[in-house]
Amino acid sequence: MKLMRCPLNGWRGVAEFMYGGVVEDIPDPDACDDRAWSDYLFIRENRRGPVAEWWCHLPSAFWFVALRSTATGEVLETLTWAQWRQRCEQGEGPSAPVAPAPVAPRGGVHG
Amino acid sequence: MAERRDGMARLQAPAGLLIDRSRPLAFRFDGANIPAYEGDTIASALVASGRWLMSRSFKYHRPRGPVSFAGHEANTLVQLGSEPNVAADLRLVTEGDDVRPLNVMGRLDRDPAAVLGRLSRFLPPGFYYRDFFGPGGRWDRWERRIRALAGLGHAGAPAAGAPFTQRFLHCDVAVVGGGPAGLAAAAAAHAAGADVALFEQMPRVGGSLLWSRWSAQAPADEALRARWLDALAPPPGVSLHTGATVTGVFEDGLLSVIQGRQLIKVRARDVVMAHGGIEQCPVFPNNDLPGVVLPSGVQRLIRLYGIRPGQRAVVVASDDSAYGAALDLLDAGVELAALADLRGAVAGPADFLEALERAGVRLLDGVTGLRAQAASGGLHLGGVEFQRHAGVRERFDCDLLAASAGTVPAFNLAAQGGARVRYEPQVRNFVVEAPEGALRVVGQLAGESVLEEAVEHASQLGGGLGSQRTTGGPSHSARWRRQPALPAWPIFETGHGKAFVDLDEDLQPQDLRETVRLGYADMQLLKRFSTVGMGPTQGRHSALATLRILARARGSEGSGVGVATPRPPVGEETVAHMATGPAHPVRRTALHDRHLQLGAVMMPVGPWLRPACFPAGKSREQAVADEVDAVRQRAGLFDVGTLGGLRVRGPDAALFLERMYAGRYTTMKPGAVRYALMLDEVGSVYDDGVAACLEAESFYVTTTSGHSDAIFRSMLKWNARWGLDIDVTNVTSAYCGVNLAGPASRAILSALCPQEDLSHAAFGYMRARVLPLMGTHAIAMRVGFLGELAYELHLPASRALAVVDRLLEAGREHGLVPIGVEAQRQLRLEKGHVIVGQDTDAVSLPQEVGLSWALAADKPFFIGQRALRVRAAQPATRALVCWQAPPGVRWPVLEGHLVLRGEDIVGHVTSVGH
Repeated sequence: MKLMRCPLNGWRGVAEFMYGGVVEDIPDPDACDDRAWSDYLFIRENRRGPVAEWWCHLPSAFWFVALRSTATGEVLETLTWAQWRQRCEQGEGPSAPVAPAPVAPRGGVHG
Repeated sequence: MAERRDGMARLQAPAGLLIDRSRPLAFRFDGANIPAYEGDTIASALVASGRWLMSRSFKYHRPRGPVSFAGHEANTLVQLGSEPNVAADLRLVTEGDDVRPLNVMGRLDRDPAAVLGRLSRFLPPGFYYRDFFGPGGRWDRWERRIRALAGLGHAGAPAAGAPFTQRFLHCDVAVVGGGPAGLAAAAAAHAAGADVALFEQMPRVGGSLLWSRWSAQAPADEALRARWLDALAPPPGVSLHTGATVTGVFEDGLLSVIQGRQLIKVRARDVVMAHGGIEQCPVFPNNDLPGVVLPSGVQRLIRLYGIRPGQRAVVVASDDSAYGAALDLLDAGVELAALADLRGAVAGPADFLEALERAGVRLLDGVTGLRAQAASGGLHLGGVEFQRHAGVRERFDCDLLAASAGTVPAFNLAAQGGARVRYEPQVRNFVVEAPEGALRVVGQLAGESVLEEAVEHASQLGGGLGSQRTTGGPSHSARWRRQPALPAWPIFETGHGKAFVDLDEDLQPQDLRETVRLGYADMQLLKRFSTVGMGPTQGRHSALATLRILARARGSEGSGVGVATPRPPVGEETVAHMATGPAHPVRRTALHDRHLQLGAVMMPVGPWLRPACFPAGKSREQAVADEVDAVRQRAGLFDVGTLGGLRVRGPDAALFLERMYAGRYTTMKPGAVRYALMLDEVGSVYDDGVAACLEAESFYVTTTSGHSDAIFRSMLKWNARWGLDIDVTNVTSAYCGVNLAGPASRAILSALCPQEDLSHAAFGYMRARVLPLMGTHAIAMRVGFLGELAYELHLPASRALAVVDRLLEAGREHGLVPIGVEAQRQLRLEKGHVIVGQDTDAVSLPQEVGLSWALAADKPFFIGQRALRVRAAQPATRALVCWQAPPGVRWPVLEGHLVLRGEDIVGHVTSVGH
């Protein structure tokens, strides 16, 4: 059983974690056409190499981003969502990620 | 020097390190009574009684006996009571054991299936694939008979005794193997401040120190042994685990260890592999006869169990250690007829050679042929025939042949951990190299051939493994360069009799060559087709010989051939060990015991157990009808403690619910309750419940029984992106709930809180309030899932039972009864409420099941909204409709029944009421 570092709880056995899918780039639901939305829902790139994934530490229900190589299974790095966003905005990161657009449903945060 | 007790040939101390002569035991083998001492293994006790024959081989039913006395071969697998495939040379005898041989038809000493050996040319490798599969295959017809012939043990229920358990062990450094290198590494790592755990398969640490020969003179030998054992005695702080087999090495320093009936999952920062080597038997005709053993096996037998292993012996050496075994045999009073060295010349340590010559032992070199012969009866070794250069043949009568082709590193476990294993032509042996990372190899496994150097290097390495993660001690790579080379070709095929490469699978060199000829000239393919290395020993004794044969067949030197991928487990793991893992718990509500007392029939609902109904002596149908009637006429109490409960709080709580759920929540005021419909991202109905606004910026949301954890996680996942200012708490287990439904429910509830105004005006439909009840509080909601008048009370789980008992008591005069899931389903059907997951499926749209009203379609965003927009534009194909079975239908309509129009399926029944 592998170990994984939760950004909140530190190193834990992988049995304490749940995979939550690849961190997807969510299109703007109001601006995109139907095809783009159905691609977001159903089409997965299945990339070989470093991929940004959602993982949840189950006992604390804490979600974070893990950069994991799908070729070797090695977890390269784990980040909070905020850290990941920052990484994307700076265009850094081992996977040279396409910045997932922040899901920005209209209405936004209060105020 | 030998004493005899009940036919046992036992030596005096210091021989017999592991046995306690003051504690005699007895057990049964194949129906016979066998004496033993405490500390004996089944195999050692059998040999002490003169019984070498322990099993029949897998394919040809040839007689087989122990070889290594270290659990290396499958010959010693026996049936112990109801436990199959027990290694007789590792399992300690306990009083009264009932041991039976495996793979025997009739009697062990007279197995009629041994005739199969004469049919061997009709049983080529790949026999099963070639003869039984494909068009016209005959496998179906023959499988049962073949399995009866080739089967191993019979699994029964685990014998009574301690339960099988599992535990975790965490340490800085795990050392696999308690031989000299492992002990040195453990002590040094401990001295450097590491928390060290050491795992040793045998009942005592020491490894080869316990049985190897150090000096030609017996007293000096014992003194040296004592000095080594003393110097390497593990310090008290090291956590010692003896009788513990490491069966697997996994990622990130995880080891699986079997110790008796316990499975230990070890998590170590660093793993030091020190599990030594595996001595190999040369390949020669009849090398499988009982009485043909490994020199290290002879030494274990003498030193550990105090057994004189034979009357007259021959030793075949491929390294210096076999010379030590020869001296041990002499000292044990065994007549030593000859010693042959397969390295071409006689080349043992000078003092050993001198002692052997003084004892008049014939020393043979230039061996070109070797063949064992059976004694009369065919069940034991009777003699050995050598062919030497210039065609000289020499034959020696003997009942013991200690034959070695050298020792290979025990690479299987190390390879699982990521170590690289390759064949090195320079030493004609495997070389194990540790990968970068947490795994390290020391001792014989690392190619060390000199004890002092192995200990020194292991100690240096261990000293680098302190309490903190470090780079570790110096690496001593390429130690193998100092190893003496193994014999080039310890494979002899001339003369009558089968010569075995793999004793598990009864494979001979020609079987492997035939497999190569058929085109499987790759190690992985060769293994799969011929099954070499696929038996219980996993190639421990066959990997090197197989490599040599394959390399020669391919015309190469062996370096490019490789080994088949070793996989866990390396030792036995039983299903009972595996079954100790985490079970799936059944969830019970706080009212569970009360339900049982009230005569409930329980049923599983998701992870929960819920009361189906409360028959109390009635038929189930009558009980459900009575419960339904009670809710209609009087009152019923239904346990809803299985519903998920989530507290959502914070300035953005309402906005958050609007994104998660399909309805409108930002307009809710404290005291309001609204239906909450959750869609998934493809716009299908996923879950429902209610959202109660308890106070400003604070909601209590319920989910269906199976979904609370998943919805809780989903909420937190979405909000990781959204970053709304909210907090979600899963209070499912903290609360238990009941639904009090029926015309009398208001009166009953009022009895518990007479000071509260529960009138319709003060506490109307779809309203919530926090109700003080019996010194605690209830989140009380007037919802109508079951009856026109109904209250759902969500109570702190610790107080729920007291409140429920009081409700039942107060409700007695009103005819209140507990009701179960079956009545609940009937009642909600009468009210036209859907149950998500029963009346909906993975593609159900809200509008198909009559839930359009629950959508606030003009909201800017909610999960599923975008997909719903796409799907709403498509023609509607399905609808949930209410219909009545036409009169005259004679069979009952049941949930799941299909609705046909002519031959076409046009729908199915989701819920039924009568």
